[in-house]
Amino acid sequence: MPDVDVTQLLLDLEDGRRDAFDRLLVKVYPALREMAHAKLRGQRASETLNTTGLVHDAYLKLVRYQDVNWKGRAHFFGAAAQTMRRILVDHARAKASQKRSGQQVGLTQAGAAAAVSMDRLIEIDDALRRLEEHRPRWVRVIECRYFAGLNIEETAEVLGISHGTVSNDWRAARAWLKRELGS
Amino acid sequence: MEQDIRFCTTPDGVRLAYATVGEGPPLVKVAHWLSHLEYDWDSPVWRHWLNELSGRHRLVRYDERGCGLSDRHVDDLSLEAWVQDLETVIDTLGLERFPLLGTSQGGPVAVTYAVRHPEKVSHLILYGSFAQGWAKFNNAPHVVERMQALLTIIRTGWGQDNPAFRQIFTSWFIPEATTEQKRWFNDLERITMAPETAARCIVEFGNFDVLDLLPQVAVPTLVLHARDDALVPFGAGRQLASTIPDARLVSLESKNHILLEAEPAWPRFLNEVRRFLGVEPEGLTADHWDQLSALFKRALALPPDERDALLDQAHRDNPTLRRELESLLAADAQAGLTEDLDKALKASLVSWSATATIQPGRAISHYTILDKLGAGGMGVVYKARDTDLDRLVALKFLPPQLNAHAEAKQRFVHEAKAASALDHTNICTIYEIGETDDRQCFIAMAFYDGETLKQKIERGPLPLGAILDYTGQVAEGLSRAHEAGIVHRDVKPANVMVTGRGKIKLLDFGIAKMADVDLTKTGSTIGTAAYMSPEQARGLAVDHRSDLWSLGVVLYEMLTGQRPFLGDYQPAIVYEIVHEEPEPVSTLRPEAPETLARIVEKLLRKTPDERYPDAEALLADLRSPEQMPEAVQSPTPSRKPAAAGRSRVWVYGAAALFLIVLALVGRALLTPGQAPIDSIAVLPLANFSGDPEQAYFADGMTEEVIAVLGRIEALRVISRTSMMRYKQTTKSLPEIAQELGVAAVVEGSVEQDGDRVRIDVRLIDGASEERLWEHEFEREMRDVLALRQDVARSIAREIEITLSSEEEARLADAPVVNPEAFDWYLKGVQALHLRDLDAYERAAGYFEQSIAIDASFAPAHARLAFSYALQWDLSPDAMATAREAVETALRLDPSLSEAYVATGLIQQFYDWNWESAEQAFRQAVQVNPGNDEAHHELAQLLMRRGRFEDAIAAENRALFYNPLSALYRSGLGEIYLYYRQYDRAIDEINKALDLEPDRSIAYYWLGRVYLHQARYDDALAAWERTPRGMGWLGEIYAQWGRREEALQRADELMAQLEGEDMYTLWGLSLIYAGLNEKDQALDWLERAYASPSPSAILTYLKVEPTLDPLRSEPRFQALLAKTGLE
Repeated sequence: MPDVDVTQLLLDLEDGRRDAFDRLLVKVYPALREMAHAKLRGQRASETLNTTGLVHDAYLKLVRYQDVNWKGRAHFFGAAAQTMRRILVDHARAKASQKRSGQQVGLTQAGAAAAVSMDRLIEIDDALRRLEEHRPRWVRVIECRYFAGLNIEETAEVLGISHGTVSNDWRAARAWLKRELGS
Repeated sequence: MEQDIRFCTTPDGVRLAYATVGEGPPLVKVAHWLSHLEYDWDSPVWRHWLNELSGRHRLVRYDERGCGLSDRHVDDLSLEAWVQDLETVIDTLGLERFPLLGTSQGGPVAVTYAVRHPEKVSHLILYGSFAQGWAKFNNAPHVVERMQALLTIIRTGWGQDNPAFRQIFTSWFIPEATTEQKRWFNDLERITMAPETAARCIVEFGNFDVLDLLPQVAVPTLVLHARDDALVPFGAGRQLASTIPDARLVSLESKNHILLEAEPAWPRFLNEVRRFLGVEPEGLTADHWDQLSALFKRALALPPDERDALLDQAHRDNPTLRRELESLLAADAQAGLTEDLDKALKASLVSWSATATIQPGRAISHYTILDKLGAGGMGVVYKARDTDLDRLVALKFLPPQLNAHAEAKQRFVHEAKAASALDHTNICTIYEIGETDDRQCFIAMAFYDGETLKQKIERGPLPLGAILDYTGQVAEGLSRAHEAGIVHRDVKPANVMVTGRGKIKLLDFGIAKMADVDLTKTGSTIGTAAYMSPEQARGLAVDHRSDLWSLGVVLYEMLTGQRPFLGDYQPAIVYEIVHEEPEPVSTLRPEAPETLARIVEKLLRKTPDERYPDAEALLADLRSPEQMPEAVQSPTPSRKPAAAGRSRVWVYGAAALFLIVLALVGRALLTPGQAPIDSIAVLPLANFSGDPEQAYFADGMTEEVIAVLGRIEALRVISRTSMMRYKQTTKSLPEIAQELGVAAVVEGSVEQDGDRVRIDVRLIDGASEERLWEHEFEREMRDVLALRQDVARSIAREIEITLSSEEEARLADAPVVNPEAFDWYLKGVQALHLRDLDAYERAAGYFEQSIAIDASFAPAHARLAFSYALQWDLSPDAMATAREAVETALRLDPSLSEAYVATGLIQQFYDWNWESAEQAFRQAVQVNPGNDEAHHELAQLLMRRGRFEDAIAAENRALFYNPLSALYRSGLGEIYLYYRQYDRAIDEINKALDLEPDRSIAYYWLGRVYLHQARYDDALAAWERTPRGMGWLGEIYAQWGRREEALQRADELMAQLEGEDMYTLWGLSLIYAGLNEKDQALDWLERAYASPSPSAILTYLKVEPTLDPLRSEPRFQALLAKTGLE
């Protein structure tokens, strides 16, 4: 069922009400998390978590999209990208703390291979938090590209900046991340 | 850095030690309890504080009276004395103005000082502090009691060598400290203060109270407090911050009274303090960041060797900036790292992807990997060749999560070594336990050609003779292991190999020992849980009798074809294992000898003591004469091992012979009854290539299998589009089966690896979710069509569907296809399914590529024609190509259903040849009854010809094969629309919208229904939701009687008219028909017919209600005749 509130928030955003964005995040997070976890539960070992698909599904599920224009759509994807990052990182942190406390990680055979990258994910998140203080836009670009699986054009649309700016930010942000996480 | 320690004397004659360290403006830290200028320096608890605070300041600190290097024996420990100490130090140093940091008891001192000397204090920082001591802040009885107890501990225990008492104290201060830190603090307590003085201090602190002073604090104040500080509660910090005017409170996520270096709260503390003091955090300012990103962008535009000039420019401004820029550019240049990073990120996003497969041909130690044999919770097994000894081996790799677990690995190796010492004919021989270069643990063991009991059981219950034989052999193997003190722990059909000669080999000894580490949790296949003994399931200690239980489960399963404990998820199974009795063997397999049923019962006793005491006892029962008819009584088994072996073989053989005969006679009666499978759904095969880009290949293979199966008359196969909805489903198989109304479901995976393709499929009962059959197929890429047929044929055989001889032949015959051509073909098919105009064009391009590589591949020609025909308004050139493609396709393969559909579309839309078109669609349906597209196109044709009942039947047929298609559902609505059964039309269209809410074309049809119901408002609303409807609103206004608006829309349409676009011409005729301006309407219709690509839209001529006013006109009749629709 379309959630009237999410659609309304998108419309508010189109009307320039920036405070609606925070409320949008609050709305999107539980829904997306529930969907992600449902996906993870139903997942066979061979499958991958398709974050792009998930974000699109969430859009279809939460938004009366015929009422919303491309800008509203962009706001939604922006919120979803940030949300997706939180979900994945929360998940990784939960797993990491289970591991620390000696419990086993309830994943499939692939679990351990993944656990390594989950640690990585946490590192990346920490680095992004540091970057957030100085270059929040770089962080938004990283989120859109990595966590919502958007391409350059879509990211530009979502963030309301030019393709060129997205490309530059993307390259710079990745260089910065590499430096922070490298070695 | 070195600290400078000096001494000063207070007015009451106490000598105080104070220290200064670092350069810059002064920062004064008020003394706190338990300090020691020298001992704290470079200590694991205080080091980071001292380093950081002295980084940009000249840090001043001192030991309080009675403590550290200051006088130990003092009379006055009051707050006033403490304030005096601070004043003494500051005056001695002659400090004028400085930030003041008060921690813990230092806080009330700092507050008092700041109120007395506001001109001296530039900033007041209070960390972990309070305004009122414990006796004042919260004098509840339990607090007082606790403090009394602490005082006793300090007085009596603190001076002892044993640190136990001090440890209690330390745990309060820094609960999350490392052992090293705690040990240091334990020592500090003893070194820095006499127990009696410490106790006196605590009493004094309890009475500190500066609450009344707080409102008088007139300097900027920052209060920081650890949220879970156990020593000074967070509330005390809040009280400080809320009472001091304009103070800011920072709450830190920590449990420690002293922040430790490794916790996240520490950098937060530093940042807050630095910001408060106006010291920029290390690194770049906001301005620098702006410059940095601009410079980075400019540098990238330059060749690397010209970037120096830019870097120099950055240097002039700021060395830090230059360093940053340099390192960013360096990081950017490290391409490999980017990929690693991307991969790491992707991997974490997709952290549930399968374990990587080792590629055939890879050398590991002295083995060459040949093939993957299987994978399970216990790891992946490969077939490999031992290049030293030139023999085949099976290499089993530990699951990665065990590899990462050092202790588990060690235990595994230990157990495997013990098991490898077992030399018995029924136990798989272990050659070696090794480790790869990247420290992956593996076992090399004998490779046996054969299949596991699991595979055998999956085909149904086993013959009694074989059961007796296998059970005996497993028991022999277990007996040997148990003698050596080794418990298998994971006896299950998948671990029992039956070689080609009927020899049993028990696999995976001791591996399950890891179970209590994590395998039972992570590898949590139902299969593993189902064989656990009650004691194992409950996590109790297990002995060899646990293996006997598991063997009982295996025996039960061999006899009945089903497991005794059938829960559908692990906790349910475990519950049944522990609490419930299985259904007796005799009800499921009545012909099984009663003694055998009794053996099962005895093996499956919940209490180990009630089972056989050991495998030998079981063997004795298996060998007992009662197991056999009197005619083949065996000699008493000899105790001599060699002789025993021979005689047993004979015994089993004789018993088997008898039982086989029995089984053959009774077979028909004995096999559990099962409804025949006459409908099937193939779930999208999973893409195992590891490359998401390859998804189209897996999808394509799914479709190919569906297509081949769909051609079997007696079988209903759900078509592709319905199935693709389940690609990422979370629904269970029974739910899916029920939704689609099928008896069985096929699921599996496709792996394309170089020029090999492997398909792994399982046939699963739709209701019980029972795995009926499983098989892996593999062929070369060029034989991919034969592979598809292998799969379809095997499934057909498995479900025992009756095939006509023609169908048999078709299934056996598969052309060879060029892999590259096939690849393009699959891409085209994928695009075709998107069902939009762009995609049709793209699809046509792919099919042309395919044909360019291999012109003999008929389906590509057929699909090419199809993708052209669906484009509706084709240029004459394109038409010619389409016709040619169809002809070629049918010449190459006259049984191609898709080719007939394409033919029908061309004849209908471009030739007005309704008869041949109908014939073509019927032909398509005949060669492939499961071709849902053919049924749909036939339905649409019949509708246009006004044969509505037939059309409804045909569309329902399409929906039968493709129940979830929104296209067909709205197609049915369309038929009802033209049949003028408007309510039913609305029902069907709404169902289509439920299936696919963004199907805007469905709103167009919905709008048409409303229009003909004269619900003009609703019609307008519906069309406003669809791009196509928008241009057509004139038609609604015309019939609504809003003539002016209708004419205005007509003008707009005429203004837009490009070329002889027939949609526009058609739209204009509908407006004028609605206005009852018949001649105008007919003019536009005739013009539409005369346009170079008349095609599809005019095919509604006969049935469109809006045109009703024209029907009696001769010109209209003539048009009907010309279009073959009269």
